[in-house]
Parts: sequence; C-alpha cells; structure tokens
Amino acid sequence: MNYGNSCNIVTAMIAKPPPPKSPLTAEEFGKFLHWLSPDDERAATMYLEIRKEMVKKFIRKGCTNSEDLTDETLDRVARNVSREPDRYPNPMAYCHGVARIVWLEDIRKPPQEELDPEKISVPQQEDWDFKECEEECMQECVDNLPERERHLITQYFSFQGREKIVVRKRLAEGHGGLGNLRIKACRIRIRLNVGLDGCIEECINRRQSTETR
Amino acid sequence: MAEKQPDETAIREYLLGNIDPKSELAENLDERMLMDRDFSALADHIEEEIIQDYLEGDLGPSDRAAMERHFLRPPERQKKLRRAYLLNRHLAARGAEQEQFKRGPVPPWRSRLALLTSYAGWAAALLLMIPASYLVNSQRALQSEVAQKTRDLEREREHTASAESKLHIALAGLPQPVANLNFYGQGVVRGNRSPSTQQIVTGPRTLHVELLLGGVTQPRCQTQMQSTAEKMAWFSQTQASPSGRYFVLIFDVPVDGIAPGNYEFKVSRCTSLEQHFSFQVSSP
Repeated sequence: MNYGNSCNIVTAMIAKPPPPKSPLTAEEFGKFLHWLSPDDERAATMYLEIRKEMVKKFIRKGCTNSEDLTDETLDRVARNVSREPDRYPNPMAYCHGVARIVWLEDIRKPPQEELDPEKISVPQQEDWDFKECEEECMQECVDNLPERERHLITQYFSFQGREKIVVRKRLAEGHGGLGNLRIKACRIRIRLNVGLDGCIEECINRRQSTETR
Repeated sequence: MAEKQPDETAIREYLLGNIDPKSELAENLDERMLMDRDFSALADHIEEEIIQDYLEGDLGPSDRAAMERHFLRPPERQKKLRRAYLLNRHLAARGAEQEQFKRGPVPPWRSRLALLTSYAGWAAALLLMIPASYLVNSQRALQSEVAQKTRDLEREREHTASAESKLHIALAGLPQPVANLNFYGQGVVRGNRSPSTQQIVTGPRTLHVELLLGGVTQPRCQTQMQSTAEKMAWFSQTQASPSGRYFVLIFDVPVDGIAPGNYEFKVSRCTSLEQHFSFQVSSP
C-alpha cells in the first residue's frame, strides 16, 4: 500500500521507513473484536463505528487517502491489543493515539511524482450509473421529507440574488430568525445526505443485479 | 449558544486548514471530535455550512482559497461538494416548478364556488329589480352566448394543437445543439489564439469540452466552470485519459440558462498547478 504524502503539510523531519508489515491474521482480528466487546454483534457495531469516525478524522485533517490511513491505524491497534488487551482500556482514545502516529508518518513521506499517462486505466461506466441513481434518489429523499421540512428546504435553496435574500428573510420570520433558519436548513441537508447515501447504494445494487440477470 | 461560538470558530478554522495541524489546539480539537459525539456533530454541521457558503459565493477570498487549497483535498469532500451542488440544483428546479404551479389556473372547485356566489348575487338582484320574463330572456341569451363561446374555444384548441404539432415536427428536424470547445493549453483554443466565443440561443444546449493537460499527478480531476466573478456555474469530477505524452479531459456541460459573460474552466487536484481555460458566452 502506498500512503503517499497525502496530508496538507510537509515536515522537515527525516523520513523513517515504516516497520515491515505482515498482514493482520484472523486470530489477531478476532482478539481485537473481543477486546472491543465480548458480545460479537456489539463488537462488530463498535468496529464499524470506530472505523467511520477514523475515516472522518483523517478527512478533517485534509488527507487524500483516509481509508488507507484508517486501515493502517486499525491494523496496528488490532495487532497491539491482541498481544496485550488489558493495557489499553479505552478503544477510542487508543485509536486516536495510534492514528496520530500513522498521520505523522504519512506527512513525512516525499511528495507524489507525476503519473505516467501510459500506466493509467480509466474506468468511466460506473460514474454514469451513479449520476442516474443520484437524481432519482434526490427526488425520492426530498419527497420523503415531512411537508414542513420539504417546503423549508425547497424555498431556502430555490432563489438567487436579491430574491434569495427576500425569501430567506420571510422564511426566517416563521423559524426564529435567520440564524435558526440556517441551522435548520443545514440539519435537513445533513439528514438528506445520509438518506441519499443509502438510497444510491441500494439503487446501484438493484441495477447491477438487473444487469447480471 | 453563545458558549459554542468560540468552538464553532475554532472548528471552522481547523477544517479550512487555518490552524497548524501539529499545534496543541489542533490536537485538542481532533481528540474532541473523535471522543465527543456532540462536538463531532457540530463539526459535521460546520462542514456542511462551509460547503454551502462556497457554493453560494459567500466565502471571503482567503477562506475560498483555504477551501480550495486544503478543505477540498480529500476526494470524499470533493464528492460532497459535487453532491451539494447537484442537490441545490434539484431543489431549485423543484422550487421553480412549485412557483409555476402556484401561478397556474385557479383550481376548478374555487372557480365553481366563485361562479355560484356570483350567480346567487345576480339572481337576488334580478328578483328584486327585473320582471320574471326579462330574466328568462336574459338566461336564453346567456346560454346561447355560452354555446357560441364554447364552439369558438374548441376551434381555438384545434388550431393550437395543429400549430404545436407543426412546431414539434420543425424542432425535430433541427440538429442537436451541441457546441464544441477544444483547448490545447491554458486559455488557448485550437486553431485560434484568443478565447473562443460561444453563442447561446434559446432551447437546450450542451458544451462538449476537450482539454489537453500537462503535469498530471493523478487521473481524477476536479473541474469547475465559473464566471469572472467566481460564481460557480457547473462543477464535476472528471477522469483524465492518457493521450500520448499528455492527458485529455473530455466532458459535457449543460449550458441552458447560463447568462452571457466571461467564464473559465478551472481544473485542479489532478495537476501539480491549478489550470484555467477561459472562454466567452454571448447572446446571438
């Protein structure tokens, strides 16, 4: 795996080669899950939750390979806790500490070189598929909003320039001021985005299964 | 709310990359975002606000630069920006439809109610003022007039339907309105050394764009079309394909409804330096 110089700063520290990695064994991963929780189902949920938060953490730091950095962090955590489970009582705090080391190692790496055009393959098909699903899902998710929220968000984002200012002022009168209106519109959008992710994934899977038949 | 303000400002600065990532403040924010769910939700909220401010042109020049230099580096954020842009477009289209619906004809039940109220008023007045025979004559005349108007209306409808059908046939015969823009370097159009002039006429139009890029570091590019006032008109992620010693970006932009003026395509993320390709849209 290449973690590249993906974060936004370059340190003057001398790059140390990372220690040689061996793939995480099933046994180590099992012990890691047990460390998270003795209940299998709860352990799996916790693992996914931690993973999601770690990816977010690296994105917030401006990294371009958050998924890779998260995998590296969790592999290291799993290896260490499988050896000494009692040494680390708080999973999230320990993951945070390891993530910082992984990130510091990553920013010490030299910048990426220019790509050789001849080594690149360009898959495009799934992008088109995704766009089609996106539009359907936006329609569906906005339709599924409660009437009041749908009206608010549609009005909030429907106008430009001076008209936008007038409409938002009018809307704000019924929503406790412009600040509150902005917060409400933002929350609805965050919920819409979560709904869209699920809807789009489902739509793509449905299409793929139809194509393979 | 007032207590949260310093946190909000700090998160915003952190997300825009305006805080030294190795500082104690950055470390503290980073840890809180991971350990405290409410704080993490607040960060999500501020992230969404930054994206909206960017799309609506509400960011100041330094924040805008920070957004493009740091915030939009992760591909996940570029995807989020693209999605937000599309969602805004979708919501705006819905809003426009609703407005049109509001201005449309009065619903039948309302017009019937208005008609009944009006008839009742007239009848009461006539009962008081006009002899019954005159009322009967008037009703006959009115019925005859209504019948005549109905026939006229039917003829008018037939005429409109025929005209619409002729129009559809004529439109179907027109070529697909696609305009091509080919750049082989920043701001230079193939076969011409000045920015190209793109004529916009009514009806759907698409710009088919081909850009030749050098200095590509990764194939996935962030491409945006913006006016000289830096108002974003279109945004997408496009994949650069190898073409000899260079890379080429090929994409279509729907330009229906775009106002005349000076525009540029800004290509970033995939090249070591941001690249700009200027062109002009003018009325016929």
